[in-house]
Amino acid sequence: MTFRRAAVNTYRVAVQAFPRRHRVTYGDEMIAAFEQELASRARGGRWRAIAFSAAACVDTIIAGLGERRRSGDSQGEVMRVGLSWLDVKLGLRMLVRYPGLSLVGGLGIALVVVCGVVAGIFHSVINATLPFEEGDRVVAIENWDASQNRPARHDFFTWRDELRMVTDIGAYRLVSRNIGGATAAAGQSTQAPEPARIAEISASAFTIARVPPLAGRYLVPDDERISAPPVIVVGYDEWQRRFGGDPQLIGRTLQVGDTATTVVGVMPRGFGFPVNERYWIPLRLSRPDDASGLAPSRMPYKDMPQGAIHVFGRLADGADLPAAQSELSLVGQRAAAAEPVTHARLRPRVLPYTLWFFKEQHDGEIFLVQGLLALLLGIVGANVAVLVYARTATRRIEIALRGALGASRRRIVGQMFAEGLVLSAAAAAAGLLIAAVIRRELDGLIPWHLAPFWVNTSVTSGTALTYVIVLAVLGAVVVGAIPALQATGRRAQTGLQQAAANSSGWRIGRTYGILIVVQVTLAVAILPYAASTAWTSIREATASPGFDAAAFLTARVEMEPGAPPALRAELGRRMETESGASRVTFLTSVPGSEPTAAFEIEGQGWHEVGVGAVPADYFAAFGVPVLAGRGFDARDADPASRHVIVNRAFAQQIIGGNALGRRVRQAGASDSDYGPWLEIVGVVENFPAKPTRPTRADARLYRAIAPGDSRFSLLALHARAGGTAALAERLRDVATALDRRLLLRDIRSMDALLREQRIGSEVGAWASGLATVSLLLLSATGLYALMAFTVAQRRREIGIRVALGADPGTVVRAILSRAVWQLGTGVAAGVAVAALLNTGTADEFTGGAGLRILPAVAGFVLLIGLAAAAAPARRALRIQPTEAMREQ
Amino acid sequence: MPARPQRDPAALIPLKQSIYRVLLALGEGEWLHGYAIMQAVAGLSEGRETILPGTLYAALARMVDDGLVEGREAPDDDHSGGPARRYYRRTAFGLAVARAESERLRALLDIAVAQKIISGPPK
Repeated sequence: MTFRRAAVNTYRVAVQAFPRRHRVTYGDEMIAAFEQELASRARGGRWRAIAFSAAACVDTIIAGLGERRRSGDSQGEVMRVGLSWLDVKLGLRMLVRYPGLSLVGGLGIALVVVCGVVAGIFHSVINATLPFEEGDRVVAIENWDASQNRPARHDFFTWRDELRMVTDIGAYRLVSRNIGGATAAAGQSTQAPEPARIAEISASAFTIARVPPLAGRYLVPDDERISAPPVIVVGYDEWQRRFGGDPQLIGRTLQVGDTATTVVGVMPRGFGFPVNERYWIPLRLSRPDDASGLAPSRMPYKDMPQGAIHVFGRLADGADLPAAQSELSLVGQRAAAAEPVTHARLRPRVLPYTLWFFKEQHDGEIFLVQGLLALLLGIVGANVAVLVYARTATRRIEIALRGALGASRRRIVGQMFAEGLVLSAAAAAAGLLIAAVIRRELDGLIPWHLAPFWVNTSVTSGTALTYVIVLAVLGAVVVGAIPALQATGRRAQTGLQQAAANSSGWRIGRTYGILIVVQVTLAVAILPYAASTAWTSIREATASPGFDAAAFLTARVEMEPGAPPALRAELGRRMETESGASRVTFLTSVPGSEPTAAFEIEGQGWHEVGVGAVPADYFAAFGVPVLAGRGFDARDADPASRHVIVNRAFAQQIIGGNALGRRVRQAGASDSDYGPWLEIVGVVENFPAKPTRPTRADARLYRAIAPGDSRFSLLALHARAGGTAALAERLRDVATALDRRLLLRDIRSMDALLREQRIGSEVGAWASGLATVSLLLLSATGLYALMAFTVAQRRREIGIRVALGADPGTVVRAILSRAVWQLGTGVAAGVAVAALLNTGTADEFTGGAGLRILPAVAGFVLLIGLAAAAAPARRALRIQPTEAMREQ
Repeated sequence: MPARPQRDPAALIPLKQSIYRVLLALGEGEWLHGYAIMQAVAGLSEGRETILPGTLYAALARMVDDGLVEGREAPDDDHSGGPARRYYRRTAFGLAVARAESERLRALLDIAVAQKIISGPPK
């Protein structure tokens, strides 16, 4: 959701403060005037627009309530609380009068708001609309393979020919090319070529976007002809960075791969369709019927030339998503009838573009994050509810007194709502601030610039702010209105005398007691995982990988289509002759990030292990010690070789002893399909070294592969004294001189590469650490509030007991028994859950620390819980017997 | 529509500031829609004083009820887009009330000048 839409929606809610008659006459006009003024203020910056929106909403609510009073139209309406500045002032006074409870209540709401901001950002990422005119009508079309549960090849031409509900159907694919500097003609530029991602895209993408070019023109259908001269459109950021904003760029020539290409246009800032592109060249697909004379839908599926493309379009005027889906399904059914072998299992579907993008890539993760956020919001919300319930409960006598003195129910509810609003507004501001700080800390970890161009991860994005506003108002309702309604309800109005004399009239229900137990259970169950994740992450971030990673320069080496495969090996040979490099190695993956596969260990069943396809000199290149047996030699790189090497974690965690001579085999495509048996001939040290105890996830199995293998795409150069920076320069020069179709990407030291691999776990550690701390904090404060209320209820009883000479220890035990019972139950349940999870995940849950960590965790939670209970218990003992008797 | 009975402008004095500003922003015989009035109010003081939509429409509703302004549907040549908007014009009674309020304020201003709180032409 855009900020503008969020602001207008919020204003719409504010307009509800006016009486219905006024809304019918003026409501639409008010919203239109607000929208126009908002657009005008937005030109002065986001914060001016936010300030105006907030001021206009407050002004409208106050003016609306005033209008209600004037017209006497206050019956039967939603907002009849009669808010005034006096209420707000009273609210402030009450917050100061109960500072402890205000603080914990505020803290709770602030945490809810932080969660809300995260949820808001997440929601805006998933449900964003493209920032185009009617961007929500841009759709993606795909063939979903129901049997494989993945997208299949697309019937692009058929869809373009036959669909009427979706217009401007186009396609794109992302390719990598070297892009040289700009020249006046097709000559050589002095600027070194840079590898870049380019969108090969249909011209209709630009008509769909309805975004005019900043200079020149965008792609047109004519550019898609095979015989058309090659053209390129450049994005704003690249125009500024690479070409210094040169106004003469249009008409000049760029070397794109081995093709001299004319720049025809520059797109404005912020345009990055389809993902976050900076260069666009025309997508030139030959129609299937060009050569065969067959209609697209009759063309054998295997012969269709579209390949790995993604298809998009815009809903036709008057069409909606269900109508487009029905039409597409019909087309799909016809294709299935004509080509049952290829199309019977395909389910063509049309989705909003942004939803499709995230669904395709992160379907499982979306579900997981949504689940986690809902869980966290639920836990935090429940805690806040406990806090405020107890908070209001302690004020019931005051409320009853006010009622007895003549205050109407409406007045009391209004004032307490105002009080809640003051608290939740302050807490929301604090929450926003905390979220902004977290966001800034994450800036160092997350490459935001790689995010799709429409994603707004700002904490002041429209959706995030809407979440904050809604949560703040909800907070005010929970903190103020609901308890006040309850306190002034018929049951609570049975008499001031009863309320004052019978302090057990209002009990914290069993539900809240259970909630506390659940919180403690969750804290105990989750803490081992969070603590071990955070601890592992900190140790791994600061530990050495066991070799001098900073001395290695790495680069991803790719080749444009048509380049000879031997180019890569030739690049390696040339670099070996460079004085700055002492050793050249090609890798298939970053050390430590090997892909996993299922292997059967003879006599020990199946295990999922990381499999490294490495050159024969891999261990020598990185100085990895061979612990037993031998390392690889050149013969092991022969495809017929049946020898493998495993690391220490494999030997210890999976084999559980001597691994030499043991046999393993890989699972094949089907249950009855296996690879050949392979013999373990050596055991090497874990690489990269881990400071923490290795787990099964660290087990590696290495196979040597031949030097010319196409999987070797990561080049690692060991730099001599000159360092990696000078070597990087030479690498670029050598690659350019060798062949312009060689693409070098991500040139960096291996140190940086290894660090990059850890980003995910670092962010995860941050998130789980913060969530656990919040959880603990709230459990402690929830417990504290509960105890405070319990003790307040029993003041008279405690006073009488002390007056009658009861032993303070007995009294304390009586007070604490409830807390101990709850804590004990929670801790026991938490330990059981954690132990179950730990056993189920073979020690992974506790990061290999096993159950030894559980007593420490349980003790920690118990300590926090008892500390939370101790303060009210001490206060209870200080009650003067005479005071307690007087209350009688 | 029956003629509104003649009323005494002084009965509405002192005016709320928002109402006075709207009366000033509506020029002689000029029909303006709500947003144009917001802009006209800001224009009176070169943007130093503004009126927010909630206050404006609460004031307009009151002014229509009191006969200070009259409203009508948008004319056919209104191409401003968005929802159909009403246009407002100051009535003769509105002008009389604005005049009465201005006189009141001028009297106060004269006192301020006499007491040398501000400088100004002597009365």
